[in-house]
Amino acid sequence: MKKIISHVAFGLLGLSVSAAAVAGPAEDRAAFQKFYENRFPDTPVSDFQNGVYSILPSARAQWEEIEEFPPYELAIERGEEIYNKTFANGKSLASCFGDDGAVRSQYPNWDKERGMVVTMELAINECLEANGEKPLKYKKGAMADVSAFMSYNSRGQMVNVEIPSDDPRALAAYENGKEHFYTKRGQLNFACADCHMYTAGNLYRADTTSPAFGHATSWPVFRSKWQAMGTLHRRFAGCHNNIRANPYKAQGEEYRNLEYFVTYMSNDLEFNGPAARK
Amino acid sequence: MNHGLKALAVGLALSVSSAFAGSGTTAEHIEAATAAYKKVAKETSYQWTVTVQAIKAAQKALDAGDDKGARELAHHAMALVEATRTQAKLESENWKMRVPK
Amino acid sequence: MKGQLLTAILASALIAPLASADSVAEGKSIAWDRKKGNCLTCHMFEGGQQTGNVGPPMVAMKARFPEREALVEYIKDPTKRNPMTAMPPFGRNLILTEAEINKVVDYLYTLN
Repeated sequence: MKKIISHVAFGLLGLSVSAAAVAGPAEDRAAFQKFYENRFPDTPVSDFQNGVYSILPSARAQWEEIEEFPPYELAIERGEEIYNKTFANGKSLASCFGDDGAVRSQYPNWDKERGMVVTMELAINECLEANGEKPLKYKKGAMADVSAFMSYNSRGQMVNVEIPSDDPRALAAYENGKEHFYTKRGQLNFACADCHMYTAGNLYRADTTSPAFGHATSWPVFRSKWQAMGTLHRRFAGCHNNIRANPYKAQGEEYRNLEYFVTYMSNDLEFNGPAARK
Repeated sequence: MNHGLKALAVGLALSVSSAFAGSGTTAEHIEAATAAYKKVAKETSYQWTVTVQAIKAAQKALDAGDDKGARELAHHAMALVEATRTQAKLESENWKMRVPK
Repeated sequence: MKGQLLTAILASALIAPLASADSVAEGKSIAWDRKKGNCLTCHMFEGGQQTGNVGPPMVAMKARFPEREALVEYIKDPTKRNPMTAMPPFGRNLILTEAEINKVVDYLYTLN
């Protein structure tokens, strides 16, 4: 904490400090990515965006077969329809996000004016509401469909989340997400890092836990277990339920900050959603 | 309610402050557990699903006329709230050691 | 004299109760129950299907934990010894009762 305060203080004073001297997000990310490279030396770095399949050769062939006739295809089509549907005021989602909605790499971002993290799903609802339309539910259904369409058109964009150094609140939001990731919660006492970092690749019953490096690139996903599409925040809530912690609100501050952190940790991978997952 | 949980609840009833365990209606005990749950959630952002379940089960037992069972469940919920607080306290420091250097 | 002896026997039985067959069977059912110990999620148990490998296999428990109390304490709160462990604190977080943990330990001590 002291380091963070001094980092912020230096930034405010406009002093330049060498990146190596102070542990900030960039150093966090380097150490984070290195952890996974050491744990899974056979996985090419760019492959971590494929989730558990990047570390589980035995399941990969079946997954690749599924991706040939992707179960999220219909969601993309439904999403396209919603995306192009004309609002009562004559506008559409395209008025906010362009003809193809290929804006995935702009999110999550730090909104300096409002002092908060804005995710793509939040921005979609804000566009709807600004135009007098009803907002969508955040975890599944139409929101996941629109998000699937926009993500599909954004495939190949690089993850490039920025933590602006000129706003200490952005660093605070990042630190909040980071603390969340490493903190044990729920009656079962698990941190995200317990399953998806320190025991990533291990078997919990028949399930191999996925590496958190690359976790944020492929959403929304069609999950076999759900037999439906779901957003990242739906998965956050599911994980919390599993460890007997009450989930936080989808798109509330806690989950937006967590998304900010985990997506930043995957910087330099590609956005490759939507995807199929177990 | 299984035997183990009963034994636990009885043990807890004895260990919780006597003022709390000994007096008040069962409805008040459920209210106290609910308030304690909300307080810890607000102060620490830690909240367990099982606590909510215990509180709901206590209310259900009370509504069904099972005063003793309801009281035990309320005390169990209270013990869960205390355990949640302990977790929050431990983790306020322990999370840092999980950050890779 | 007789009374004293009986008291002594009773007292020692209270301090170090011999695991009864019932207790071992109950311990096994608690350990295997997905809503209770759910130990197989992370540990290999002989005869268990789809057991995990997050923690070590449950073998040679007596050799690994010669002191019963140390094993009981470990299950109650393994983070005391190792804050990095993924294993839940079954006692501290009230996942199992003290009696349940003791039955699980009775069962674990039968695993060679």
